[in-house]
Amino acid sequence: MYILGLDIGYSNLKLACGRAGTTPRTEIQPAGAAPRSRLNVRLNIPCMDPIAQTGTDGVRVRIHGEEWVAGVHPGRIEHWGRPLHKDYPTTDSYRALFHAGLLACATRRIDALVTGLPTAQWLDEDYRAALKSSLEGVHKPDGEHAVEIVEATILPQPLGTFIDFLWGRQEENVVRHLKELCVAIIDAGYYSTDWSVITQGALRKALNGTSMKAMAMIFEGAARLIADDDGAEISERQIEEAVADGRPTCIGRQLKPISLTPYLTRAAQEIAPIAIDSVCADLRDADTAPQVVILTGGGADFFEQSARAAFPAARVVTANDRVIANARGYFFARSVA
Amino acid sequence: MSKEEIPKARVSVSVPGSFSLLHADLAAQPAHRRAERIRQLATIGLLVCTGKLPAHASVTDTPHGGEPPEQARAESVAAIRGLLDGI
Repeated sequence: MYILGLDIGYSNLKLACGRAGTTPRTEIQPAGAAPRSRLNVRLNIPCMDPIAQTGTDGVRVRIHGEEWVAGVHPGRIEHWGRPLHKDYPTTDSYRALFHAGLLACATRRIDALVTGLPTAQWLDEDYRAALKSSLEGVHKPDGEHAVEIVEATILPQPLGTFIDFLWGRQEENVVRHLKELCVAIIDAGYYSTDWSVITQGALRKALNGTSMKAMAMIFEGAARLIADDDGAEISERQIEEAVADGRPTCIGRQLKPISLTPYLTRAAQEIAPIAIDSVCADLRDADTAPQVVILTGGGADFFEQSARAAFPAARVVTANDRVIANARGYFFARSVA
Repeated sequence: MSKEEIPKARVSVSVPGSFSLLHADLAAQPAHRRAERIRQLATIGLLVCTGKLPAHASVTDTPHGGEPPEQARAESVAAIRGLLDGI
């Protein structure tokens, strides 16, 4: 059985694919997607450090007969609105990234596709069914070759990370004592910070939430702080790309390299506590105190300090490979079925 | 313990960017320099390493450095199935 775990985020497309029972191949691509005519021209400048290269021209896919590119940095796309709203799964950008995910598998038949929705959206049965139905069937991602998806499964997003956490036995005691524990999973994404709670080994359907205090706001805050200190006009998009590429600096005024870490840390100290406070308030209202807090998503590191302060009695852990953890957990969800 | 008996590095990595870029970066290093490169990348915050790095360390995106014992795996599978049954 061929399985694809697909996590289409606002900042990255993450996938884990392969045969059931094997270690999946994983891939992360930037989540920029648009008609090909909107892609700017990239100069092919050799770079000393391959980790600092700014990506490729993406994957060519077809959407409604039109040629698109997917898997490029959003900064490569001009005059095109980036979809940042909760109906993201219904957009053409999402569909283009889905097609890029199918092409990355290089197979004609995917027996099981597993993806996720934020818990609140997942609870909406009509929304979930519509997404499932749109993913199943025969697709022509490049307009020529057919790829069949036999069955799609939609999971509450945080379960992806939690399944990966259990599979990898990141904390032995959590696996052993799962039935006795209350576990909060906080997914610090680009557009939103989503959280869910698992008690006695089961998802608490009524206990979840979303805060807009997420990485996009941290990038925005860092850009503002840099402008205040240095006068440099560095956009949040430039900071996002630097972080995604693993570049520790951006270029400021008079070509001065500006170290991003201090600014990101300061911005996170403003934004992350607000998101974590909203989790705390909801848990307090439900008279629930987590014994384990798992941080995941690209912003997990920026939320760790606030989570430790907010949950002093809990074991606070950052998920291994937190960017890919959801996709890999989706893969394992079907691999063990 | 001979060099051959040293287990493969158990390195958990957290990479803000792309695994493929990280792999490309490490593949470009001579084998004896990979551990040093991993430390270098960790020092500047590009990845987070846990565990001891032997000289021939390599980074893998497989979860957590290898297969756990059969009984432990069965325990994990049971926990995951229980979780999925409940939704």
